[in-house]
Amino acid sequence: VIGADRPCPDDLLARARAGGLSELERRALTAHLVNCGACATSAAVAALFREGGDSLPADASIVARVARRAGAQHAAGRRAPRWSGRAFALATVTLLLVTSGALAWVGRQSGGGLRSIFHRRVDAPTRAETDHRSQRRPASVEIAPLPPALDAVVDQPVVSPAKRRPAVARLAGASVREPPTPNAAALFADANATRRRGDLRGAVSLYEVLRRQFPATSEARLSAISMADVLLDLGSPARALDAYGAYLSENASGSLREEALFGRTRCLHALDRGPDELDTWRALVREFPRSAYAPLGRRRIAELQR
Amino acid sequence: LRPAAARVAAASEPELLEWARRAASFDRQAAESLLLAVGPAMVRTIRKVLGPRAPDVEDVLQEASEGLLGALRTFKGECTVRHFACRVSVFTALAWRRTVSFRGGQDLSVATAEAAERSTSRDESPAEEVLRARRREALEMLLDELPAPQAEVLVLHCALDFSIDEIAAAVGRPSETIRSRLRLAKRALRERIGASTELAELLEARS
Repeated sequence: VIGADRPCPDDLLARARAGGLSELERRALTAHLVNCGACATSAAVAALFREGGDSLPADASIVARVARRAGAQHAAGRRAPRWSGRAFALATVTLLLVTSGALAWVGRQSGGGLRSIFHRRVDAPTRAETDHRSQRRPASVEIAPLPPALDAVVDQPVVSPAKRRPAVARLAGASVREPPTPNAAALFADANATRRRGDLRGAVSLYEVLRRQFPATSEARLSAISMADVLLDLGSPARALDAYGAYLSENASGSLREEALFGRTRCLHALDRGPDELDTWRALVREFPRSAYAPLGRRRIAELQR
Repeated sequence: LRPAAARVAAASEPELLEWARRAASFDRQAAESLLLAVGPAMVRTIRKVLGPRAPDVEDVLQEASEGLLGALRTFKGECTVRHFACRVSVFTALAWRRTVSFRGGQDLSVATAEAAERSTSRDESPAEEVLRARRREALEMLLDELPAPQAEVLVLHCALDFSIDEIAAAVGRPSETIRSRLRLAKRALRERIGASTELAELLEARS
């Protein structure tokens, strides 16, 4: 059945690892492994994999944390649905039709069609406009040439406009500004990606920007927890405590309340504020008796009460 | 109310399918229940790819969970939900490994070895711990050298004991394609190990 000219018995190998082979299958597989170097290698590699991957005590709390966070983020994503290509095309066409119709109507009302509107606005300003302009600007407005330094920058073979922009701004003496972030969801995704890349301080900055620019969004509320977790990792328990506190005060019944309370206990422990930590553990165990953190909470309460 | 953790962990496939269907419609409770149910298998899978004590398991699980929830709209039930979740975890963990090693920002093997050295849960001598860490390092290096589709199939087969048909259903490719990828992966591993005395010795030390 398992000859050298036959395909390797990969399924038997997998079943063998799970211990589900009959005696006959086991013998046949052993004979195959003697003759097939590739399968022998694969068996050795499988044995290496078995050395890792056991569950650890911390896994339950990791799963609980991630489930709550990812579940909440997923639900928050509903409020910012992405446009499908077809819907976007339809909306664009509709907008173009409405705009051109409106312009045509305005043109007819003014008696000269679209051409006359543009001509009037560009070439023949009204008297009021002329008066207003004459007070503030020269009669003919020309595009001023770039200073030599800027010319040099623009003439350089710069590949990325994003790279050119700060250089031009620096030479012009202006403050460099990042392009505006389109919305809270994108900023939140940016911050999370930055955190995953390991740039924790960068992630905190982005979370702060999100909370400042879009304070009323669900992403801003969620970001308080993410930011607090990162701050704790950065060894700033006092700032993390503030962030957890902000979430708790902004979301009396928020979906990550349990997470925030657990975070508070970690901060208070790091700050050596035993009585406050005890109160927070009590609140967590009382509000979430089935929490993954509850067993740890009960142990810690007993320790703190001694 | 959230389902009790034990009940969620032992959820049947129909329950998982129902949660997956509702989670695809942005039902937060269903998404959470689903992740609580399949999360332990996902963590084990991630640990198998990244090492038993890899430092960033939580971040990778977060990414895999987001990936799983995002992919549910296209999930057609061709495999079990648990298998689908494991496949997403393997994919995410492999991608994460490659990204991190490409950036060179973090030496995973050193981190894993250091973590293994810190471990006090195993009844092993320090020499055995070091040997284990070196074997792990060798395995990770071998995985990194394989093309991503082959590495994915190899992990699903060797680490998670998926059958060829189960891998085909989870990956969404014909069984023959999976068989071919596995054959190529095994051949590449054999050639790589054959070319390195150190790797061969490490593997022999295990067997």
